[in-house]
Amino acid sequence: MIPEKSRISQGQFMFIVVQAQVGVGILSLPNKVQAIAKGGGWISVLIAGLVIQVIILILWALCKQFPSDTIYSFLPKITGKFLGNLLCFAYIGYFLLSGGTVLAKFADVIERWVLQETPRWALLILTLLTCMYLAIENLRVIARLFVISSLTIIVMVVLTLMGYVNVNFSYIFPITEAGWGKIVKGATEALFPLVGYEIILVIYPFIEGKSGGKLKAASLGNMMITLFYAFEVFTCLIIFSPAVMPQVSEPLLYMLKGFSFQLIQRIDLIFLSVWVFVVSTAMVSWIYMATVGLGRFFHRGEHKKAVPYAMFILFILAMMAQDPSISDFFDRMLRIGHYTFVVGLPLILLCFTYLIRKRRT
Amino acid sequence: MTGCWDQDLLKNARLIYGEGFDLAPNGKLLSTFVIRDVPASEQQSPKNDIIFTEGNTTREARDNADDQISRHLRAYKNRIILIGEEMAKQDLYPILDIFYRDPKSALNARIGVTKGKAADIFSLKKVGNVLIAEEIDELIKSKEETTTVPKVTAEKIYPIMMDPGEDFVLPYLVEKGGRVDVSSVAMFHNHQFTGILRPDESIMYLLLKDKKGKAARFTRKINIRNGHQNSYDFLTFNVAKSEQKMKVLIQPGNQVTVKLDLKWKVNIIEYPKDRLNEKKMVAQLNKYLSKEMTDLAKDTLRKMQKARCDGLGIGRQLMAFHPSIWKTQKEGWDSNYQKVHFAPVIQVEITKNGIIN
Repeated sequence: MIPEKSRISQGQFMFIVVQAQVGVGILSLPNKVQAIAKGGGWISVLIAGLVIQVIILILWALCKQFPSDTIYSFLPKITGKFLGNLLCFAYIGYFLLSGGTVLAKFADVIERWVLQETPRWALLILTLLTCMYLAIENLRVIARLFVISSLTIIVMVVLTLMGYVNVNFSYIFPITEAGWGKIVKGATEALFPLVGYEIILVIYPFIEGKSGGKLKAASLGNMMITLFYAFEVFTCLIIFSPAVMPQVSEPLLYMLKGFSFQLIQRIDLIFLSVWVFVVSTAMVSWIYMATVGLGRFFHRGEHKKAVPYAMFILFILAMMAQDPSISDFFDRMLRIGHYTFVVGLPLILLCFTYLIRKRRT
Repeated sequence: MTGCWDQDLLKNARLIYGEGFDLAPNGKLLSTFVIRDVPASEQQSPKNDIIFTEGNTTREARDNADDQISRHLRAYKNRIILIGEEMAKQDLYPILDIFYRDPKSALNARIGVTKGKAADIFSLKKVGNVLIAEEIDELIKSKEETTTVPKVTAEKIYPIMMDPGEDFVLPYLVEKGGRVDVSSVAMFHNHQFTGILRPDESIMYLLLKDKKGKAARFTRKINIRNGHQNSYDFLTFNVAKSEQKMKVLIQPGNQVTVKLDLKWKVNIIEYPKDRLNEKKMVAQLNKYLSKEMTDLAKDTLRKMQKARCDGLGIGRQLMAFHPSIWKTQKEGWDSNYQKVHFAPVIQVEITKNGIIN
């Protein structure tokens, strides 16, 4: 049922999870968690990683019930055709909105940091065209590129390490200044930059091997990213004093701005160029998730035919998000969407399938 | 494609290499710009152009300067920011805001305070054969290596400036007969210039803060009674290794006490009265220098307390490790800091004495 050229190995799957998770959120995450959890922000990130691990477990358990179906084909099986298809469209909408928000935030950062004069549409079109080039390919090609682009995370870590020439560990103390309640609350904030693992719902049937191995790959990917994020947040916390943090919206870039080498004066720009790569892969994964669904409904399973107009929707969404009030609205929608489509619904569906199975036997 | 909008060619730019800020008599900001003109042919040497403008803000002053020169004024190669004494006594942050806000600004520019006006130092144009901005930049860099001044850039002071529990110091530049002298540091409290540390004191401060550069030299008058004769001699030593331990203790009555233990391994680099082969003599010198240095540390700290400059970040330590005490002391930390009891102890150990005894 699954064509040979779309199959991916478990190792590739791990890197897909990694790339889908690392996105625009990382630059502003230290600022956001610090606002709530103060010096304990890095613990919030670790807690968020644990929570996501649980969510991954739920998603995996759900997918395991239908080893050869994507979410778009098993939803109708559980809830009946009409409701199932309706839900499928809701998922497609959620994936598109996520992609659009990522694109909008990406454009915001680039406009603020590098290309101030360039109009937004030019930036968006350039980014989307590059993403399209990858998104129309089959999953195996996408997976291969994701594996290669994961190397950029190492580059990002190395660049961040340079910040350590100028740190003050006392900035994070007292670690529980904000209290454990606030640290947990900070974890909910850290949950959103880490989204992207939902991709498991769509690509589960394409992965080779046993289900246990698939879970292991997803968990490993999630762990890597959680540790990476926690490291970045920790570094920012010991570089910027608590009073400065609220003023710097992208601490990770800001700390690199002051460093310079003989040859390179602006390390933040190097970091940004690497980051562009990582963000575009995240965007491709959202586009892929949405277009697989669109392809199933309108193009007999060929997702690439859906890519061009999905791109157009993303473009419109990102143009709309230029207005801060609209982008705030999108953010709120995404939060609700995330809790319903990635946590709530899968949990309900999982219970449902168990009940159905039980009744049958 | 993005180049269509954001291209900013070097040939259309006039690069600022140094920027100075003074308080103009009318209360406005007097800015001095050192602009580098890159010569068309390679035979000619680069030249500096100095422009003075007034403005209410840094940006306005820059725009006013831009009005007076051809092509565009660009600050991304800025290497040095100097702030005149009178200006530094006002608030420092408004001047620097643009440096922090503009994504293209050079945050790694060195920053210093000048005695008198910054404009006067930049007006030197050249020191010897070196252009002024380069000279100051290189000078401060070399002084960082001798532990005379701290390694500060606009970026590094940002988190400290904003933090209520810590203050910073900046190199203090003095013009002396057509040359620039960097040997002292200017102390700041919050955003304001509040005092100066003399050369020895500034080295001591940096050692107390455990921020030693490559070398740290002191010259001391040695006055040890030895038998029938009084030997008045000078000794110069270099601190080769310094181990610093700082402990902030809370004593009864919420008295904040700071214990500073420093262990130095020093090299004698000049001591004309040559007696270093005797163990007893070395021990005597160790003891003498330890006491001298401890006294210097006490003086330095007293001076810092007088200037309300919390350069060692005692407030930060309280915030981090004694939050309950910080809560009671937060209000009026300026005056509370002056009540902090410092107990520095410096142990000097002579380990090397060059190639003669």
